[in-house]
Amino acid sequence: MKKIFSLCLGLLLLATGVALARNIQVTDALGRKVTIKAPVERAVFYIGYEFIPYLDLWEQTVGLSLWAFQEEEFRKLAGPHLKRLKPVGTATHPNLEALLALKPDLVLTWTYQPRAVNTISALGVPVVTLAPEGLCDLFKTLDILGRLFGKEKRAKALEGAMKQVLKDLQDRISSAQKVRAVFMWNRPTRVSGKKGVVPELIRAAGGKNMGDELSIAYADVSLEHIVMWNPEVIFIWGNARFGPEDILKDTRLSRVEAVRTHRVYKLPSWSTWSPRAVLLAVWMAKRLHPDKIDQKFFTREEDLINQFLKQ
Amino acid sequence: MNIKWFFFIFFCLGVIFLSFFIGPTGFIPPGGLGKAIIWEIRAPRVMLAAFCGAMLAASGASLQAIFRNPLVDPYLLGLSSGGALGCALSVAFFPWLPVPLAAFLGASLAAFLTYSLARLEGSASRLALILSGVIVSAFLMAIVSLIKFLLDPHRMSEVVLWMMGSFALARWETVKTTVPFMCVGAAVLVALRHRLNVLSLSEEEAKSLGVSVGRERVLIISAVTLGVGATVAAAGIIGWVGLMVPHLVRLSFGPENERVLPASLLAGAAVLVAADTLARSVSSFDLPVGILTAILGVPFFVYLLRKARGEWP
Repeated sequence: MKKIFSLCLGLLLLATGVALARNIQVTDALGRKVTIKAPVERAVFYIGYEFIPYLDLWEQTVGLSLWAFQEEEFRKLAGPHLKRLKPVGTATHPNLEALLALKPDLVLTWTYQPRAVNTISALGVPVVTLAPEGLCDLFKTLDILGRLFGKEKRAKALEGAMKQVLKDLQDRISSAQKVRAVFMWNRPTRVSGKKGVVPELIRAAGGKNMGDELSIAYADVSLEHIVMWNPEVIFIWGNARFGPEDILKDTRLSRVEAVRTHRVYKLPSWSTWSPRAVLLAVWMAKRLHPDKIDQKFFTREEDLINQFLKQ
Repeated sequence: MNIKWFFFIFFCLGVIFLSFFIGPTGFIPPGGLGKAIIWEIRAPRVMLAAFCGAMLAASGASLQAIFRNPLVDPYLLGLSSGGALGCALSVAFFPWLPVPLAAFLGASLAAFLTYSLARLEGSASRLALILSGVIVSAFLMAIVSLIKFLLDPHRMSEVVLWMMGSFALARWETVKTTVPFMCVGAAVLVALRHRLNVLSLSEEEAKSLGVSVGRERVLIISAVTLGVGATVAAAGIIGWVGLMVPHLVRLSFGPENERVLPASLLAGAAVLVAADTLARSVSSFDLPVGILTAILGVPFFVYLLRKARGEWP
């Protein structure tokens, strides 16, 4: 009797699973229309892996980019889950054998290596490319992931929380004057231009991104430009090999207001292609408008986003 | 002859002087920032470009003479790939080791490896040195490629940018720490310029004239390694200057190395300073100067070859 009951329950669960599984079509960052059987059960993330803990996709993920295993901040988020997951090369150099061995039903990668996208697709593995070029794209990515993994409600809630953080921030700083800011990447002369998530975060944080006059995501400019821009605040990418102390003692930049007033800050090394991106905006706002944003505000907004890590 | 030299020196120094007043922020930067920008940003950059250009051109001229090969450039002994390896290792594994120092050590190691490999069969002949330079370069570049493969894209871009050669981050400290090495290297080459003609003869002929070919060749190679290693540390890999400028000079001053060497020093300085001025002024971006020297160098080199009708003066 027990056996028959178990069999019936199994069949019921299977039938429910089949009924729930559906084909959905998404348009990815390369403009490709990809049909995926959702919910995805064996995903491989080459990029965007910071979405995994926030959407709780651990059980539906089988492989990760090599970089994920090396990033200190991601390792903290992943904890013991990382041991179960397999490295599958990187987005630029995927390890096809390792990838296929995992029998993935979805590969998420970036747009910069179309050859890899075509090769993986030709092997019969659905590939969706992601390339959030701003906060709007970040929300779209969240929506796509929610639909692909059958986590629409959670993705919507997370999107709501992210938008709430931006709104709270806006309410606090809307009356404040924009502060001139420069974002330095892996060298002091590589700055953020107009495109990408970072300049949007600077704007959301009440800053005026001085690199906006450059129409690309990041560009190498002369130090002369930085001196002429005369930023009031300088931000340094979290993974840069130099820190505020290097900029503060650089005599070439001694006339820059941010250097004179010691307002040079290195960001936490969180990904900007992540729900945490909005927290980076709050982090920056705290430095741009210390009179309006305090630690209490930051902690409150951080809790709003990080509550998803505990669910 | 004296008037020719006078105009040549005047022209080269004029180019260098003018470049102090050309940059993305204009002739004299506005807003009372003239002194800060010209003195703190442009001046070390121009000085460094001048010394690097001089060293590269003088090294190219010397090596072309002792190897009796017009296609030889200062990186023949694997200095560029050694420097690149040093840079890649510093970025990937030894963040506490400054990139310039790592590049200098890498370049020196590469030259040492090349010379040791060439000596495996006894004396280091010209052919053995050229071949071992090719082998060492290929080996080291393979390791650099492996490291680049293992690096994340942002850090990889640091290595790639360095390999393109740039003076964008030049500072007085860089001038102070690298230029003395270039000066020592250049001084040795200038001091030995009279011997270059003899060293460019066949080994038997040079020996019959009482020249210790092996010893003097080692001296020149050491001077080149020291000086070019310092340029690699200061600005990364800058191609074409060391190959092109000596040919340009020979077309104007003839093949005598007593004249070619000092003229190469001056012309190399002017050419690289002019290229770097273009690199920082031609657009909103600060282009890596190595890209510009290659873009401008190749057609100019073709022109020179046509003018010389395929003959190496």
